[in-house]
Amino acid sequence: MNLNYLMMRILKNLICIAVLLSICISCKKSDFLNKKPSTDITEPTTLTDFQQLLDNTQAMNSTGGLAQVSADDQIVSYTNYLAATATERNAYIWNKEIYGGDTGISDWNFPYQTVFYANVVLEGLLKSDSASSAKAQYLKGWALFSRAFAFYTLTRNFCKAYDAASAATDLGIPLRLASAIDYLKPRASLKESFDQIFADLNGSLGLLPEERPSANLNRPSKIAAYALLARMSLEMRNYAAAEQYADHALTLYSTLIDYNTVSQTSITPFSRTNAELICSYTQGGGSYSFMTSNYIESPVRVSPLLISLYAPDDLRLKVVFGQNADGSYYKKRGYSGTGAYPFTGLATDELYLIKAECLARRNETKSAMDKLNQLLILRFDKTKTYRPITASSSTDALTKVILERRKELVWRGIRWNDLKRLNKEGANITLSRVLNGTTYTLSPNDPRYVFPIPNDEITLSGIAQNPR
Amino acid sequence: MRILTSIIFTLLLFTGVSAFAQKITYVKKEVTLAQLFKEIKKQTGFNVIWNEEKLNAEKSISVNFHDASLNEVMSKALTNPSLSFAITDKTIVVTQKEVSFLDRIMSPFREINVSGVVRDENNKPLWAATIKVKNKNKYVHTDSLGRFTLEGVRPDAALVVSYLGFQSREIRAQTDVGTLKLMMISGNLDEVQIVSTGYQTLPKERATGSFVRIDKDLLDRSVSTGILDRLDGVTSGLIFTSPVTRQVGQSAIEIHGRSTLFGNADPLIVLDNFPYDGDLNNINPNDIETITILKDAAAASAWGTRSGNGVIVITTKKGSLNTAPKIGFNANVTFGQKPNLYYNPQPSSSEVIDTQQYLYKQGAYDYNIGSGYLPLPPAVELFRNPSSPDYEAKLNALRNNDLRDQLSKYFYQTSIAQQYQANISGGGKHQKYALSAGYDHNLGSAVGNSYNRITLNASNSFYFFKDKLELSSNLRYTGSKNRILPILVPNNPYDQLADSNGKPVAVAGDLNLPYAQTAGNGKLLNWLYKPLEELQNRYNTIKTNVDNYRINLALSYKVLAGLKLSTVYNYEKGKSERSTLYEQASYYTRNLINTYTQIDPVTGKVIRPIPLGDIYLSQPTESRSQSGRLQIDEEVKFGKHVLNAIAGVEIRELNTSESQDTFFGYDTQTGTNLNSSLDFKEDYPLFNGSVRKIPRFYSSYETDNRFFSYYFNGAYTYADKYIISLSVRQDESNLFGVSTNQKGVPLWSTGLSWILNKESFYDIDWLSYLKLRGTYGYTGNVDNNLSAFLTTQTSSISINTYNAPFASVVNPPNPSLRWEKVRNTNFGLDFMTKNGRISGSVDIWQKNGMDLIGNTSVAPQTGISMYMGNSANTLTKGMDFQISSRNLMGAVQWNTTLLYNHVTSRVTSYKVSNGSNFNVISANYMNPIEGFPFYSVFSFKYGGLNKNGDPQGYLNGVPTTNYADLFGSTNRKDLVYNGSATPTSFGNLMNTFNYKGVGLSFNISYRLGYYFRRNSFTSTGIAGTDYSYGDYKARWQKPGDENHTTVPALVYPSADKREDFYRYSDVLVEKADNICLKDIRLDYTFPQRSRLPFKYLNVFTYIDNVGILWRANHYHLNPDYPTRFPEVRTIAFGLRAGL
Repeated sequence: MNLNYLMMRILKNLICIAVLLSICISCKKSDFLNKKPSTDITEPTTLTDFQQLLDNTQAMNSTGGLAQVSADDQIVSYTNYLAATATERNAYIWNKEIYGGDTGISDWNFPYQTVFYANVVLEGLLKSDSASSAKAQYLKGWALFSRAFAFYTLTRNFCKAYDAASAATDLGIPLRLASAIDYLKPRASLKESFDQIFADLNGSLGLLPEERPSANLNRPSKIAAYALLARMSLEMRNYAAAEQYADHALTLYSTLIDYNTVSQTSITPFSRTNAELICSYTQGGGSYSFMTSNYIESPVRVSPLLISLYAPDDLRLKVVFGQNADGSYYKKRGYSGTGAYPFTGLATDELYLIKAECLARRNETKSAMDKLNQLLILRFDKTKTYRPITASSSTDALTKVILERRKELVWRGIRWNDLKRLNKEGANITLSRVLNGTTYTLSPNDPRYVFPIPNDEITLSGIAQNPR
Repeated sequence: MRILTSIIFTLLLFTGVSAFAQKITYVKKEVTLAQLFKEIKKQTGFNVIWNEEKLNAEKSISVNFHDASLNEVMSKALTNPSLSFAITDKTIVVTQKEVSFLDRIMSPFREINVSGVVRDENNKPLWAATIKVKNKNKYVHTDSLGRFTLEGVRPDAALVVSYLGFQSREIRAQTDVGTLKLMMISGNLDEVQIVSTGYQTLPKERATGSFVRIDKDLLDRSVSTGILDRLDGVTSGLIFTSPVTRQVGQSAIEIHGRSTLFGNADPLIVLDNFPYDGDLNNINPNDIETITILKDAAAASAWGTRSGNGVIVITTKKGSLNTAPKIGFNANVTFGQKPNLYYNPQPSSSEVIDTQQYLYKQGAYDYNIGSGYLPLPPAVELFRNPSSPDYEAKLNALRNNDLRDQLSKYFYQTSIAQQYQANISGGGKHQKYALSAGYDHNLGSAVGNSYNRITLNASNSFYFFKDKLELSSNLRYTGSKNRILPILVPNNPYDQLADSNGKPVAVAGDLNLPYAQTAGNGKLLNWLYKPLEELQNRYNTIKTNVDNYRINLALSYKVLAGLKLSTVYNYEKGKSERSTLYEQASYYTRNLINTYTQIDPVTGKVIRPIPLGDIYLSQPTESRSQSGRLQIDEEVKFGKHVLNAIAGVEIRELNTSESQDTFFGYDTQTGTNLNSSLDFKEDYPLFNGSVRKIPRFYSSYETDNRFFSYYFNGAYTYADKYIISLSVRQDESNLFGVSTNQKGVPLWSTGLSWILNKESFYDIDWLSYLKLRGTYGYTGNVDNNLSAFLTTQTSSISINTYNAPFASVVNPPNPSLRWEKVRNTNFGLDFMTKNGRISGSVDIWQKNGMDLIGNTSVAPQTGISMYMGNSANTLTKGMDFQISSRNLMGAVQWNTTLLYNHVTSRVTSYKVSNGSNFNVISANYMNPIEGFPFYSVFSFKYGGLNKNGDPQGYLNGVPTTNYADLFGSTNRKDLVYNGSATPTSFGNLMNTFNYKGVGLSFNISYRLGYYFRRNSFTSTGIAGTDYSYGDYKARWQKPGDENHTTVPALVYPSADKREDFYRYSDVLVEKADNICLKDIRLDYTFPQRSRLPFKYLNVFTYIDNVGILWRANHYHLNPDYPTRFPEVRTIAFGLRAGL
């Protein structure tokens, strides 16, 4: 009896539930289906969303490493050479063919990933409600700077050294200014490429803050934009502009680290927020880890020729390098803090060197040496007597600045472009390596200074390949 | 639990069998009674049963019926006043009228014992047939000779004789009823086959689609822990792929070929009306009544966007009304052979040592030696000190070692799987129930691995209001515990795990032995790696504990005759806790602690950033799903027209959460850890000079998939001969970044079937059943992780190098994203000869995959190298053929079933560049080529060895060793297409014999028309840890060898491309065709004797994976397991009993 009563009640309830369910369903359906399928996924719409994309250091602040492998900072023994990856081996001996069918070459893919992210943010900001807010303007400047830096790293690896006379016809890079993935771009001319980079940087100058973001050095500032403009102008051999930009940057920020205050025993002498950092970029790991990584036990050795350039009291011998038991040197971790991969970003020491070089080039010999000494005195053991560098002529000054440039900016991927630039001016530097009895050489202005575009890009987009 | 017990009611799906018109229209001058009865059967579905001695069926009468009732017709037909008739459940029984007045008076006071024999139409005794006093709870079963005696019956009582699959008969009680013959229902077993689509059940005869129904007997033929294993080899249109040859994204089971490229390829599993997303191992096979496989659009479109890969509908056992409690018991034990580690040939230890010596001389180990701590093969440690005493003896000792001996001895064992299940089911007049409990206990073939499972299952149905209202519930629980010990990956084939006394010895793991022995001067934890000690002490254990509940509630109400309303609700909750415990004594934990330990060189103080104690990795996952359905079933009949329709709405939500975290300094007793005192952001210097953070695996995320669907399914039947079906379904989901009105896709299908043998012109006497059917329609596939808009991913704990949270792009914008659609066409033919001697079906099908979503490569200048888009079309065609024959039907019974399937597939359009030829060859499943199957074996044309022993390919027809150009070429003419990587023809041949309760059956399976790559000697392989090939000796060793071998020379340094070229050349591609004896079953069913307490007792032995009968390759390889040992042979013993 009771059971039946219970049943009836349950029954009634179930019927009610069914009716309610069907009513609820029809009116709440759109709410029901608007639920996000995963807590992980968002469609970026807010300024915070965009900032988080730009704060993706892996995507925004990574560069390739071919320029480091091919330059003359390091040497490897034949045994270790054999243990390296094929791309590293080929790049090390300046082979015509580098990738041998390998895909996913970071020197090409990383910067274009950065360009994609930057374009996503630039387009998103346009649609954003708060596009005119100060934060949005800052993010726009950030994205423009990031795109410019990415385009710039592409030009230095995959294009000839800039020559105003031929830039309009020299091959540049595909200039992608929209994030959609359903279109392909051919290579613009080198001039168009540089024009775009300058436009982006100039656009960012008005939007970026003047203060150095001392805790988040992956984020750009006006200092970074000027520093990059200075570096690029130098590469274009427009020394007047380079000096101007360097001045602008140094006016905003000119702090240098006194290496006397830096540990000589630590394997990570610098923090990733060290005082000389303007904007942090790091060579992305993976592809070139064997031949470029800087740590004790690393299979690569600093070129003895490079080591021989340092004076005995030069602190860099102990701070930047470490000595192995066999007397050879390895490269300690650099301005990327604990990161095992080379620092490839912007720092104040480079600005001093640019300034000094430009001074030397316009015959301001004394000023050039003063600028150089400002930097070098902080690299010398202060317990010893520092003898300031002097130059007998502007040519001598230039030679000395360039030598110091070589010694200061090691393992930053800068050497390769200096070689391209200086050889273009007749420096006539021939690189050579000996491996297992075979000598490999790279003569000045060799087309092999320009890296081939990765095979998957050529296959999938059909853009023009570099002659090697 | 209180709530649960109060709502345990189960909906039993209605079985719309009794849906026939009961009016007769028949006008004929001269017609025999037999013909008339046949006509009644045709028009109403009612069988007429009569006694030949009492009624002369050849007598002719003249009839003139217009919409006459059955009563009218029968009264007219039975002119003899002594005859009467009774209409019961689809049967009209002609009986003799009561004889005398006295008898009638006396009968209530007398009781008699009724005995007789029940046989089938072939005079074969029917064992366990039921003889029941009508409307009384008194019954008896026949014995194995079909005999029965029912005691204490009133002489006027009506007895009902029934047997599953046979027409029930009603007889009048008398002392000796003689031989009672039961007819198979409608003379055709197939006709009672009820197929379930998960939404409705319908007689197979009325279906237009392509189904396979696997009943309990066939499922119970094999023995396994999981349910899917039991479908292997008994189902047409379905193929299993071994885990070894399974390609990326390939499902273990494919129904009618592959119909997606990169989408989810798994068939949809439906368990008792609702999709089942859990682990199939949670379902106890002994609880399953039937499995129906829906292969084409007709029924599959009922499941909408998830049906593109076919649907497997699993129905569990239920009770039945008016049945005394039936108790059943299953028990079996399965022994699996120890895996044969010698299955793959490999170079001998001595040969590997010779190679290592050569490599050592070439400087291959210099880098590791120079590091001081990196591991070295034991032989290389010896080479470094050739002047040491016993150098030769030690080296020779190594040469005589074979790691496989010790692995086999210590790491593998005979597997034992025990399975027990008990069940009880039955029912009263208005209620039915089924309960079961199962226990599985498996010990794996890898020592230390085990699996325990408990399954509980309760289903209940109640009927109210003259059975118009049905309330039912189904409650399932599965609890399981799985334990796995890590697998040892051998480094050197001559490594030793134990000394001659069986004591564990150390091998070089991440460190070389001298370093591991001396590092830290005693200030570090023991750094030696002894795999055997790890195993014996169970230092690392991966445990997975599962708790899974499923509650199914249903309520249905028959509003009017033919109109039913129902709601069904399903709730499922699964919790799986996977955890890995690395005890402090384990190598993993000691190694990690040591790696981070800092020893002050001056004070000798030891600092351990990772504290002492166990390390515990916890990976809990939880899933919850809720589904509700509101459905109307309607059946309308008028004259010869029958209309069946169902329509409904369905709402479904599937919520899963997954997380993981690592706990350091873990105390298993208290469950406490020291994580709060650890700094996970700090970069610590490691012993080898590098710097790393403490590796804490930490993540957490939730997914929530929601679906909303409307569906309609209708069938129109005319004169029981022509059936037209239509099914339409609209699915909507919370596809992200898409507005609500774009979230859905309508899918539909239509079908037609024609039962030819019911036509008046049909006169093929020997072919008593012939049905033609065809379906056409669309099924689909959806991935809720895709979006038309750009989406990004932020994880709560992902911070960049400057400790700021960051986001990554997961999906680039793709405005043209559409749902995947599959157009299905199916033509089928079902047939059966007279007496059911031969029966079978043929299906010819075609599936056009359209707008298939592909993970496609794009030029890297776009900023991504892969994206998901609608990028491909495919065409898959095939044929399923199934034929069963009853070869012998006497005392010895012999049945044969042959399955044959043919599948061809081709990518018809692929809008994406496939990259280089090497990309195509090495990862074809990512780079399908137009005009070829999705899973193709492509290779480089092999040009033999050059005079240096280097493998050669062809560029422009000229032999070359320019591997970079060969790899980079995009000229597809340079590719060799060897064939499909999946079988294009496959099937089984099953023979079953029965004699006096002894049954013997064996199943032979064949898989033809496909190819595989075999392993061979490569320089990178032997320098690494790959030894699974037998042609080491055949390698090129001296000039001239190139004339008689194709195996390249050993070189150092090895060039990856040289080795890869050889690995992917056509010389290593083999035909995979094979024929296997899949299994053998021998059983004995005891005749019912009073001595035994069982009504039913069957004992059996079952051997699985018996062996290969024939294979096309000459290397003695199992083509489905070309690189590791195949599934082991197992033998099971067991019994099934019924009380």
